[in-house]
Amino acid sequence: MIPAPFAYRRARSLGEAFDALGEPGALAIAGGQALVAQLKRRAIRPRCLVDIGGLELGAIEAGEESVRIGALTTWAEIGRSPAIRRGLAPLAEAAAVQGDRQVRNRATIGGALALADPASDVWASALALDLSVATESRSGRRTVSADQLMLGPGETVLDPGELIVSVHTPKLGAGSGAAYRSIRDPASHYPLVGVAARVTTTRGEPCDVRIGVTALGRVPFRLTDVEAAVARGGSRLRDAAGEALGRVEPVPHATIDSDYRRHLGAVTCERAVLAAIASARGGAAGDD
Amino acid sequence: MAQDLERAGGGGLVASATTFTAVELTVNGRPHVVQVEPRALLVHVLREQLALTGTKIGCDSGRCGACTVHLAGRAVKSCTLLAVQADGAEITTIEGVGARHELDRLQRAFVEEHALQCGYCTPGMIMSALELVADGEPLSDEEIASGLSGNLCRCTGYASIVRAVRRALAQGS
Repeated sequence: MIPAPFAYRRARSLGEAFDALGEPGALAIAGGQALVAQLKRRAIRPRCLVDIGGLELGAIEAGEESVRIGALTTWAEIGRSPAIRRGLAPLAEAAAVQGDRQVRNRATIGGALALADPASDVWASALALDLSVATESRSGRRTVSADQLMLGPGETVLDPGELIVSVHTPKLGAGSGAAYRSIRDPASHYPLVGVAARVTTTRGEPCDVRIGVTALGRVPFRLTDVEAAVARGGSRLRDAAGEALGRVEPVPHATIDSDYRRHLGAVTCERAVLAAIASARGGAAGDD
Repeated sequence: MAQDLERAGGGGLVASATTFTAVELTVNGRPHVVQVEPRALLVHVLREQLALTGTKIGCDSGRCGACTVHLAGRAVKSCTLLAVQADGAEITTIEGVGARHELDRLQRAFVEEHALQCGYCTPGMIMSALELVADGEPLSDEEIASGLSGNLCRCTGYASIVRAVRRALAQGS
């Protein structure tokens, strides 16, 4: 399969990228793992590709309060980063399972967020870890939180010509733990459902909980009812998750029916929350 | 089709849709300058312009890994990469593995463990597995299998492939 013709510009600076992206029909490309496939299927036909892959936006920096991940950091780099493995386990766990080795060597975290694929692993962690993105464009800079970023499949609040330059994630405090769990389609490597949980404990009991779910809904979402139930010390976690997911209409899957996917969602939610609690208590992950 | 070549000063590459543009690739240690359209895929350039047909096209959709090569030392799928994206890069293909009449230890292990039958997936398997064993860390069979999840085999089966990687790891470098 050969893409339809397009012009190509390699940006040597953000300024050059903004200029090129200001032209009609221009589209930014980073690692290209989703985009080149779409070009080959001719699902997209940009007039001009603006290659931002050579910009210096790939560093991981652990600050006092948060970890800054450059937008062009690949999933392979995220999976290898000691700062992320130690401090932001769900992102490392997502990095380890999504796509495959070759895809992870090219695909970037900024690209994953900008593409707004509702089945991408990144969204569960993005919501649970309260991630935000810093963007730049000709008209300035702004910060957008993960729960504001995506409007629908393939659609974000970003303007044309606005680029994600970095991703910021608050560090987990003392007594906090987080985990990502997913059940995957082995053929496509996509999750059938992915759930990330971040749990803060006092005296070992959960008091603040965030749960992010990807690959079930039209957009990724939080399970706020389940978060509140876990924070209240409620048991019967799987039932609570099942009840909350009963109100979700999953995006239809080619071979797997929606009830079964809600069931997988509840199971995965329980696994992620128990693993996060275990991690917060400093124990082994409570996985089966 | 116009054959104008454009190269902006200082490494920025500008090419219109119907323009061929010069791309510099170092493949298996040899520098090449190839004229490509922006839409040309790296796998087509390797196979058709550089005659390096060891790299295969299987699914042509980024799933099967038969087209795996190393770009700057990392395994990538050359069917999901534009040649212009690889401008200036060092690339290793299966032709660059081992020496003439002397297989790399991983290739030898594939032979010894009967890890290939039709052989179509083998160049991609080898390129992925080379990265997997590069740092010499011991790996469980499960880690080997998940490390090769981006490469599909449809005849030999994976058991002997995992055994071959295990054997290569045990033999060290």
